[in-house]
Amino acid sequence: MVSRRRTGRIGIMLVPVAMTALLAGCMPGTDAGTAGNSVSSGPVSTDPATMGNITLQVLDSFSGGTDNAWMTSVVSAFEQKYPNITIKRTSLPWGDVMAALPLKLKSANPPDIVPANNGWQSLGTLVRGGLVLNLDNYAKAYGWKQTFPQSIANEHEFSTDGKQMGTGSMFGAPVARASVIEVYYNRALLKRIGAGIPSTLADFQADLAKAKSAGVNPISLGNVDQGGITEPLFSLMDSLGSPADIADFVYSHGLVNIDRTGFPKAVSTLKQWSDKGYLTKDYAGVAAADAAQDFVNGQGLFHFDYSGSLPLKAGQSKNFGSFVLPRADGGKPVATASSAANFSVSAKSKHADAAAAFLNFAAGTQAAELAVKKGTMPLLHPDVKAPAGDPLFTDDVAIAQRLSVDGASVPYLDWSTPTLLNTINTTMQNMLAGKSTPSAVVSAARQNDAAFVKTLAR
Amino acid sequence: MSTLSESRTGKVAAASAGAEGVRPPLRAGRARVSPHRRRRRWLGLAYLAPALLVYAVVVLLPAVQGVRLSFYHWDGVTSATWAGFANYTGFVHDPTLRQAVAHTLFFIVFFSVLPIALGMSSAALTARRDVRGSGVYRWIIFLPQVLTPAVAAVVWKRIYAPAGPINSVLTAFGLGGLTRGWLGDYTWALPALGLAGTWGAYGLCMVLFGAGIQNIPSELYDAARMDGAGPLREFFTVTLPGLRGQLAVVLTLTMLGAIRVFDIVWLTTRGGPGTSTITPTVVLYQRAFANPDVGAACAIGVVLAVVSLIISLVVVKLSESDD
Repeated sequence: MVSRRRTGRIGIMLVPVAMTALLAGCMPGTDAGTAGNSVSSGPVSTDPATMGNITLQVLDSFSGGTDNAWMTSVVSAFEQKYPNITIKRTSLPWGDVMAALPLKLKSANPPDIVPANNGWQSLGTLVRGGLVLNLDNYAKAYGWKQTFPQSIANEHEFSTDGKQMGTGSMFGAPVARASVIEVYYNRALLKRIGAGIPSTLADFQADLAKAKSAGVNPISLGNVDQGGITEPLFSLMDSLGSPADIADFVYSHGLVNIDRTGFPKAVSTLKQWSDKGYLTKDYAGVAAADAAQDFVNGQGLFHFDYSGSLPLKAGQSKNFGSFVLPRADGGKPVATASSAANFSVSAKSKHADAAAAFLNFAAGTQAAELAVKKGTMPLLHPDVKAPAGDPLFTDDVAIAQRLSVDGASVPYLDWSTPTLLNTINTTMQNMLAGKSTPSAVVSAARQNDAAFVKTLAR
Repeated sequence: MSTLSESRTGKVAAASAGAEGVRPPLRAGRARVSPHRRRRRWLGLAYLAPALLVYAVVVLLPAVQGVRLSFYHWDGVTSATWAGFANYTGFVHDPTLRQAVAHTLFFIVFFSVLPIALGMSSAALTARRDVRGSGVYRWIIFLPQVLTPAVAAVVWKRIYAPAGPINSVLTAFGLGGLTRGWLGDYTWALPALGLAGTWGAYGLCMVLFGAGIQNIPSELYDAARMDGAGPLREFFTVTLPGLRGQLAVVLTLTMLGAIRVFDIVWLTTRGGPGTSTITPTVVLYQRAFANPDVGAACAIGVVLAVVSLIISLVVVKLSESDD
């Protein structure tokens, strides 16, 4: 009995604690809102040398491999050029950054520079919460809108009320490193089946048929962890749809119907490939990483993946090449492509001038040169050359150059709503397993988009 | 229970009395006991305070916040809007969440019922006998408990892969027609993950039951045998009642494990193919971090916590009912 009475008393003591939490905790998410999103009128400084001694806190997701090598070299080049500015990096895995970003930006002392992901899931929400700085003054001062290809600049733009994407003010900036969905090919296998690098989608499908009849696995693909379908799907969409319509759909401009993006045809084409046995046997049970490894081990003619993501060992890259899936109409190839990161500046940053100067540097020529030096695909600077001796990387750099010159990048389809990626992945699995039809995938995507556009309450 | 806490209080009292030994003795009588006792009580609370404070800040406060957030629509950044019970009604009209709940019931069989049945029968068969190398068996069977769940998930992903060992064995026995990518199959993915859970919990059940059986006085077994009980009768009249305490512990642990299963699903199928292996915790994770809908995620968390609490209470009540 003694112990029970005590428990009771302790319980009573805890009630005020709970009540305080209920009452003192303010309304969740009250914040600055979008009021502070318009550009300030004051002049901005673009000469870091005159800014005095400053320490910039940078949060990034370049936590390993070439990512980290590039970022480290860019930071030290910047510090060398401007010794009065010190950069303190915090590097976390991608998922951790995305989960922690809103909390970090709301804290009293947030990082100056953060890697918010483009699209509604991250950057769009942060803009609506007034947590990231409108960079238009800096874009003007540094001439970003003239030097960046428009298709890339759009990927970092939102209206100041946070209701429109792909237009309005720049709330982030690209870096001089690309992330592109491309097709890798095995040089020896392509030669063995007597095929060349395709220049139209029909050519590509002919190669698939040739590989199949020669007993070669046409496309190495694994999707058990929902990690292997969007790459070929988005590539097919870019091959079949008009780039302007794809961009307008993603940015919800003028309410473009998803039917005009090439998405429906892409879904049904992928189903045909699956039915014809062009994809790895039992791909539904293969892990995406295993499919990439199988491709590197020579078990597949083609593999759709992001640039720089093959698990290559030293010396293996000479066996492979890359290209962007050619257009169905034989026109200039279009690729789902963006900067490897969107860097935004915290709205609370006390060193916005210095932060913008670093953003400008990370998007500059020297950063692009460092990218090719570290073996990662450059962006924004079509004139940088790949070092000799790595044929796969030479292909990659050529792709980046062409996309830059042609302005042929389209944004990732899944930026258009926070939940579209999940919807596509689950409905595509259902469809490919024969549990539903391609039109069910399309209508699920259409509904997902319509529901989200409604919540923007324009 | 009460004896235990009495004796603990006694010790604390003795210690504090020792500390107060230098004080002049107080007047004898009723008045002497009462303030002393009260002081002792506050002293006990003072000892408890640091732990209590940490518990309040780390567990209670977030829990209360979670309950509160579950009544809002919130993307984690912009202003939240009042949702009432909308986040909770999702359990009724959201097909994904309903499916996730059904999968949890399915997982209870694989994560709780099966391991308990297997663990109890193997413990009954081995615990009272000198099996050669039983320590090694026990070590091997207990191993999954020691492995990090992420490691176990990677191993199972490999086992179930189209080119994995299961399919190799099937092919070797001429059953090539049965091979498939197990985790990519709509019928087999859920039982396949369930089986991994059985493997994980089996060792814990067996070790706990084994220890429990060794605590049962052997006179009881002798008596049963004298009365002519066979091994089956012996199990049901002596072993099973003797394991009631262990059963309550194991039942609570494994049921809660089944309700909270996340890592193996997230690291193998992410709830796929389609939504055929989705669990409430996977939906919770997606809503909290991937598609910011913090209120809905909190509602799932609250429901899971309440269900877990009810299950533990019911199990504890049942196991103590005759005492």
